[in-house]
Amino acid sequence: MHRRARTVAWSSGLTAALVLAMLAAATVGPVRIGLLEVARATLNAFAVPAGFEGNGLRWVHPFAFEVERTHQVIVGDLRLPRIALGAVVGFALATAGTVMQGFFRNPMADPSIIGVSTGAAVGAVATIVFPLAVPFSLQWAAFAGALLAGFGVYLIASEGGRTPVATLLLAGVAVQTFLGAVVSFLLLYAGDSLQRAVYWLMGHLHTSSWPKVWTVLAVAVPAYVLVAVHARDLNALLLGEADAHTLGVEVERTKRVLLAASSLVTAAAVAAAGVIGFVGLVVPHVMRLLVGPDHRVLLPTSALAGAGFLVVTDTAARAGPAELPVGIVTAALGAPFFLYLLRDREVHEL
Amino acid sequence: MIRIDGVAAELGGHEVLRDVSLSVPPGEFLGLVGPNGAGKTTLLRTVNGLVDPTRGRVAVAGEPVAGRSARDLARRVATVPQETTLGFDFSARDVVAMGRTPHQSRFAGVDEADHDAVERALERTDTADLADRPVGELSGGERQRVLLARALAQETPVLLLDEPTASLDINHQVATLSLVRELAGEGRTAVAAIHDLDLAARFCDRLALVADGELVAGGTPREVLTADRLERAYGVRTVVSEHPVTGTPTVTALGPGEGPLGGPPDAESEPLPSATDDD
Repeated sequence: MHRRARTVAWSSGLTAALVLAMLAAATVGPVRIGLLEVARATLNAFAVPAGFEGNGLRWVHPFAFEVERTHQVIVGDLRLPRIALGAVVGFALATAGTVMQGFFRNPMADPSIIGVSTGAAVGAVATIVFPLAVPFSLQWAAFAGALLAGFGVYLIASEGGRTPVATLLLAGVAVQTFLGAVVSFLLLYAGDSLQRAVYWLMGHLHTSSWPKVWTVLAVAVPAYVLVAVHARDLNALLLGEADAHTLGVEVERTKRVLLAASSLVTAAAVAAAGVIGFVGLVVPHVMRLLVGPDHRVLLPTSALAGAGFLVVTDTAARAGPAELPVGIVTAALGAPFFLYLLRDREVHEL
Repeated sequence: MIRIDGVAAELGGHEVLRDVSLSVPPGEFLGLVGPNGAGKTTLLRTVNGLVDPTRGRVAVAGEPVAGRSARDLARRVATVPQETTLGFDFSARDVVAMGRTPHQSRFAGVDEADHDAVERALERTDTADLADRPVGELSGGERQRVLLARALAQETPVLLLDEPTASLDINHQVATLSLVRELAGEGRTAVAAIHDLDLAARFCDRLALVADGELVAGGTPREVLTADRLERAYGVRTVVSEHPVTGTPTVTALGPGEGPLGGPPDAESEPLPSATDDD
């Protein structure tokens, strides 16, 4: 089929570009390491489970190339986790953004539109400012805050088993504003931890670790699959809910599934990397220009492009003499581009 | 095929249908006529499951509509809506292909049957030449034909149409209604809300005149379209005569009458029917 061939071609191209970008990104840093050395170190770091040992899995490294010891540590333990986290978070945010723009039939929608990111911010800043009062790790507090906010908005906007999209949008804006005030209030009492809190809010990938990558991946992959099998329903929803119903889409149930999946995936991403703006807004737009509005093509390509975009912007963020939070770089690149879209493209459906 | 039994419905707490009973056998093309706000759209929506009746029951192919899954219903009833929102730009062919949604598995791709149904629908509605254009760029009339094609691609025994001719040029008005006629001839059941009484009289087997949420009359166009009934429904004095060419009833509105609704003559007296309708 024509569409399937296009999906496969775009997805493989973007996957190849992503892998290349990740390898290239691993060459960048205070210590310059060649691309070939990076590739070898990456393969060395690669491990597969090969049976059980004691009370855990036995891991086997299938590759053992000659790599300088320090280079192996720098690539495998320092750079790769960060690059992988960037890719996973970008993948998650772009997926959620694509779903939200389709769901709300609104090109301004982004992953945080129903208050998930601001909820995460409350959880994270509260943990940073009052470390003793909040008995969770920062990542879990942010994750819980995000889900509470998202679920709260959903409950506020729902009545009698229906969740009108317009109400959801407005409830999201109101809750975001309120939680934003809470964050500002918390910052007033931040004292010495102010810098850390602000740094978190700006979105960052410098506290990466492999466990973080796995936790985000553990949420992002199932959520992506759930959304992807609803791609056709999402297409039908673009025609309006009444039309979608007459085409056999169980509208309210589908909306719940999409909302839950994209909130979860956003919560996981934000909890790990803070509020990184514009990835979820701009990447789906660019991909829609390139591949069209059909979610069966748009979802995989946006997700992969989001991953690549965040890897590249984070590399730019840490390549300079002083490291910047990646959120600043994505916004600095994303905002002008969005203005260009506003001026040049038909973003008139608002 | 369609059985509507003592149905009442509310929209926003306001009763828009009262005790409507109607049945449409397979192979029949029924026209719903009546003034704006009479409840024609709502009546159609009780059949496709978009509106749940507060009283009474609706059955399609012998099975009640209430409690059926959207997918199950969409395999039996296709709807051509009056307007549709098109946020992002799908091609006309993509929109028509969406008519296959109820027949497709969530995990499988598009098969030969889907492909053929889409091409046939484009062919029959004369939209094949529009297929690759973005729907956002089509005119209102072209879009309406694409929506009809989508409903055809759905391949259902029942077809509902809400003002299918409202924004069409006369040639496409006639083509569209002839096509619906033809589909009824093939054994499908078609129900259309139609503004234009002359067109309704010419193409429909039977008419149902709805006014103020109630069924005023049902029967052949000749039985339903009488000056007396039209005055009661529309509040306008009319002359019903026989069209010299088609031989079907034709309605000419004269002036305000003394029906229960009173008021000025309705859209039917104007040369162009307005595209807006009830709810």
